[in-house]
Amino acid sequence: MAPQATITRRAVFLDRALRFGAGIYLVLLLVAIVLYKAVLFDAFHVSRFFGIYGLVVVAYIVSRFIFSVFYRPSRDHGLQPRVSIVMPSFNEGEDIAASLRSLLDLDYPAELLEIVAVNDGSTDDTLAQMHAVAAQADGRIRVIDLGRNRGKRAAMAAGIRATEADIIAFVDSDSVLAADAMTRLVQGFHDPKVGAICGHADVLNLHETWLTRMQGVRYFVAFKVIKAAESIFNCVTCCSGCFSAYRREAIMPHLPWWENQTFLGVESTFGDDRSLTNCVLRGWKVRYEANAVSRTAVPADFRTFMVQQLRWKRSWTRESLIVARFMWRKHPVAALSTYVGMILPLVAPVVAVRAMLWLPMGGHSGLPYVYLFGIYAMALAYGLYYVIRRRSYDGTWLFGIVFVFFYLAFLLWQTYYAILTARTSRWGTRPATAGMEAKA
Amino acid sequence: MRVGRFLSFLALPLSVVPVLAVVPQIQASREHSQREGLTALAPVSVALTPAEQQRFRPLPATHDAVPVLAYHGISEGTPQDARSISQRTFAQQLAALRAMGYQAISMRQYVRFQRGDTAGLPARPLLITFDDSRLDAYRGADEVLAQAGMRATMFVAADQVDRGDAATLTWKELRRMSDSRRWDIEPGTSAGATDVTVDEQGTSAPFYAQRRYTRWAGRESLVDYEQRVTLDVFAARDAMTAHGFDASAFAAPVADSGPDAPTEPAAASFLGDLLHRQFPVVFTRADGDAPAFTRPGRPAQRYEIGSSSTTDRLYRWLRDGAPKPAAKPAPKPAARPAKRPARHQRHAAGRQHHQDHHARKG
Repeated sequence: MAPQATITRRAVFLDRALRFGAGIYLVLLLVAIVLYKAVLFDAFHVSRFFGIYGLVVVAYIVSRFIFSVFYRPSRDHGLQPRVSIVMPSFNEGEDIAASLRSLLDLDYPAELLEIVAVNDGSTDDTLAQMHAVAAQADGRIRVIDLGRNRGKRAAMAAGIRATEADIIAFVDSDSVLAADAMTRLVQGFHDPKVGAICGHADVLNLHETWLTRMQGVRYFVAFKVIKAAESIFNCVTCCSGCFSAYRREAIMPHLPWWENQTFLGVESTFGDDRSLTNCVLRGWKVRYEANAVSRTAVPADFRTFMVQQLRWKRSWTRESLIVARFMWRKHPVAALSTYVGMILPLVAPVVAVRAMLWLPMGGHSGLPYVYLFGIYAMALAYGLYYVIRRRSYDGTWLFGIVFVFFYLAFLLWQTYYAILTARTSRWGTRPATAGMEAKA
Repeated sequence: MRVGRFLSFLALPLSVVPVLAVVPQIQASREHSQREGLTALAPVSVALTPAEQQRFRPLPATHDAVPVLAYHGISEGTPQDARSISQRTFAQQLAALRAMGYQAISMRQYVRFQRGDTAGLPARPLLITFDDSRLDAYRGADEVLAQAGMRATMFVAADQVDRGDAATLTWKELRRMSDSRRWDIEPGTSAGATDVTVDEQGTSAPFYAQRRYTRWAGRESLVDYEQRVTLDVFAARDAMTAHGFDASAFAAPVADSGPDAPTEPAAASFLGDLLHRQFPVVFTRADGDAPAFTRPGRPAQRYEIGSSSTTDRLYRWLRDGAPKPAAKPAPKPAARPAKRPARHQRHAAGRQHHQDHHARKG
């Protein structure tokens, strides 16, 4: 099979050459953007506010890329603490069995790994599926049935209380883990000051629709760049619900508050992951582990996606108000990044309206070019990053470019609505249940 | 799938096309927005205090003498250089001038006044001028002038305008100013808005004031000085006419060395002759801080206003320079410039000089 080997070698070489070229392209692009901003520094005189906004955006994005270069995953310390995986589930009859089986397939010592499946009052066959998988799992899966729908936090809290493991991991019921994911995830706890670790999440249904492809690139960049950049300062601000692990002693003191968290008098029924991260982040290091890979199902249709994004933004609004109170005590760069990251989404819609509607209508023709070029450059940077960092070339990167414009067209404008409606407790993507309606 | 993969390959190099295509657009729109963003500043509203109203009462009428003010930069906030004042100070000064009864006249009226024709002049005429075609001067002054019902003359440093200096007005903007009828646009210099080195120690003096010193050639000869200055003056005048502006008055810029830098007598004599042959009105550098009001046929000197010029000092200069209230306004003689030749003669002389100059160059 010598010719086949030659072809393979050539393909590997071409793949590497292509991604290397994309890497150079990305670096040149970032340098060009920085130079452009530096050369046109006098834009300040035109409009100080918008001039500063442009500089801050560029500094924020470019610094994320630069910081992420310095990110290193945890070394293998041979750490094997007792881990309990809590998987809350509500009407996930279709996916729960596969998710639970992926947990059974983990190459983590069975005697050290406990799986707690919590049925949050599902009205479909979720509970039956849980029992079916548990029956074949030699007692490694414990099934807890809450009896009625009490919300994701209550389900998670029930799972936490049902176990005494040192490390408690959460895996969403629509996520599956790579076999070595747990082994790699827990290595970060070698540092006794680390209170929580966020695993990496890829998109499970990547090729389902154009929307899932876009999210594939977005997830990749959000984890590999944004979370990696946060991680080098031990300040990851959201341990994703897809796959994260917490030190038991880091969350137990906060459990009652977290379970009963309210916002403006209304019980918080979502945003559990960001909120729990906030609890831990106050006094512990919170890291990201790029080698601990999970894959999660993302919304494949426009409506579900928009509702999910709205929910995330509401959660972001609530938790930003909390994180802002203590982040200043953390690493100055992380603190500055977090505060800037809070302000930019608030200003972004104003800037977009000014650049694309207000100024062109006022006869300042041509100005949207600058703004749209900025958006395109950012999109291209994300797309190129995807090309470089995937294990092999993946044409999905093009959807990364589409996503940024999609964001501009649809998601940017959600921010204010999300802030104004942040008090709501409606979940949105899940069918309303008796419990949810009562809370709403 | 294969097609999609192929397209994604193709998209990698093609993705640079929008970047390249948009760069000139960005450049153009950036320049556009920069200049668009630099329109005249909104005027600041300044009201005189009761004490100021009491102080700045109408001064005696000055038909036969016109005070001339020379401004440079008008800054939005605190002045950044010694020759600038803030927009607020400028507005205060205009409010005070109005209270004193002054009305700004056009350069055309001033040229007539210099010829001795005072018909149609207001009771207290005033000429407001700006040097160096500074963008900040226009931005800071325009709306304030409009609000005060006044007008001004901008002396242009043509070479700076040609070079597209960011702090300098463009020809297009100068045209807009002229079209507004609030501004007269006149020549200031071409490249003479800078200082030149005049001795071995590196002392600097205004471009027109002294012979230049260079290490390789030493002090330039008077002929070289004449050639340098003449070329610049003609370049300034030609630039104005080429852009459709008048060249009826000339004001050599006051350079960084300030009004105290001495003018070489030989240079001053040559420059005076040259300028008076070329322009109906020539503003020369003031001998001191408080030059006399300009009068027909006399050297026209301007009251320089900089960051240290307060409204009160301006008031004192106007009060002291104005005819005393006791003096009865005598019927004015037709004040014709005694020493200066008639206009057609001057023009002829100017043309001759121009020809001489080119002949010498050739």
